[in-house]
Amino acid sequence: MLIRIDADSARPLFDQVAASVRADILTGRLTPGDRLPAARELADALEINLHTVLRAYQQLRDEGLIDLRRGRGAVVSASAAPLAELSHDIAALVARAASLGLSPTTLAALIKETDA
Amino acid sequence: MTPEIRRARTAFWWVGVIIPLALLVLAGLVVLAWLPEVPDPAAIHWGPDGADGFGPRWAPLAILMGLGGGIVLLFALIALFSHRLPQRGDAASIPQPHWSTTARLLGAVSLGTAGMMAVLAVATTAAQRGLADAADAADITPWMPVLLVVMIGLAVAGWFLQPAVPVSASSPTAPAAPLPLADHERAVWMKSVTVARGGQIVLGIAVFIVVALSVLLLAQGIAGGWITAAVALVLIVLVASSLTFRVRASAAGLRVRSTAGWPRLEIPAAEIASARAIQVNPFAEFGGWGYRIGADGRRGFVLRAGEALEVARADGRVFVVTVDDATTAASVLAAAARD
Repeated sequence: MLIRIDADSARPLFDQVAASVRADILTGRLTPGDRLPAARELADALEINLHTVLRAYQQLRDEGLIDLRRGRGAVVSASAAPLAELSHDIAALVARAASLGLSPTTLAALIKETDA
Repeated sequence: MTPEIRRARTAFWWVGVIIPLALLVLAGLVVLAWLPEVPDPAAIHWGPDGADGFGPRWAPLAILMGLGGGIVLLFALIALFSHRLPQRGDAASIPQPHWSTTARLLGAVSLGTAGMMAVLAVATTAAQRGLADAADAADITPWMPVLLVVMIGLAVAGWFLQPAVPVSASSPTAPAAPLPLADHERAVWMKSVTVARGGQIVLGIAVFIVVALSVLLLAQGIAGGWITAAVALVLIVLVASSLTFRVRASAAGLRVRSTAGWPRLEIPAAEIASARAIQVNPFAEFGGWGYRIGADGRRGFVLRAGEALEVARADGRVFVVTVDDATTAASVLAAAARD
């Protein structure tokens, strides 16, 4: 998984870590069943506080994206699957748009104008 | 198949199959011609005090043809047909090379082994020709250095009789572009990789055999069983500690570490020249699985076929670790190396 944090950003660090994990699930880098690194290891690699990572993991658990179990660590939950499927839909949509001569940028602009 | 590879495979047929089998058959004919003069039972094993193991008259001939021929055929099978082994997952899409440095080595070893066994069979038969009792057979210790020289000499000759064909299992890919990062942005990439299912089965069987052997020896009260048990213990620790590795790419550089904490390897960002994602064929490029040193000098943890991260150090050494999503890892390392 790829985690990016920007110390200059106004966004809290734990939120940035959680957003990175979310993006990893969305791009298929993390799939249901994958185990996240131990919070201590991730904190060490990112050179941030352990509690920041724990808070990010808790937020992801509250969103239902990961399961936190004592002894087993953090595992991407089965309920994250729809999010991963969305990445397939996006890839398909981008490919379809490309075949029609639309660039991803144009497609993104169209999506922004679409109401959910 | 390119002309070079076709030439290499033809050379293998001669060096690794035809000549070794011819040597075995020649030696077999000599032994066969002497058979009526050999005592029955014949000596088939020599200890420090001369012949100490005996078997039927035809046993040396059977060992020569069965064991020698078996080794030659097994090596030929691996060298010439390993590319037809079915591959699963990501690796299925990679074309398997029809030739490898490993195959060249197998051909050379085949020739050396067959030559050594041929000389051994002739020497042991000659030592007991015309004797009434095989126990009187002369000591064959003086032959040991000769056997060693024959084996090494033929293996070296076999190596150089085959052409050196550079094998590139995959077309070289360009080094990864650095991951775009803002001024104060940090990126960490992590992934774990586990030995392929096939490898796990092979390792499991190997461990089981050694454990079963030591249990058997100890149950029979043979002291040597303790040595086997110690070997089994070391093997279990080694296997258990190198089944799963965690790979980490960050601003600090690359870190590959077994879940057991050892073995581990770290390459600081300052020592990284470039990083890229490649496709690895374990057998053709590294001759197997585990911590490997490739024929081209690359080394690293090769746990399965397919996607791998390759890191070139500033001093020219190249490290490889098989891991998924290696492209992202390479871009993180490229960014770390640039800073």
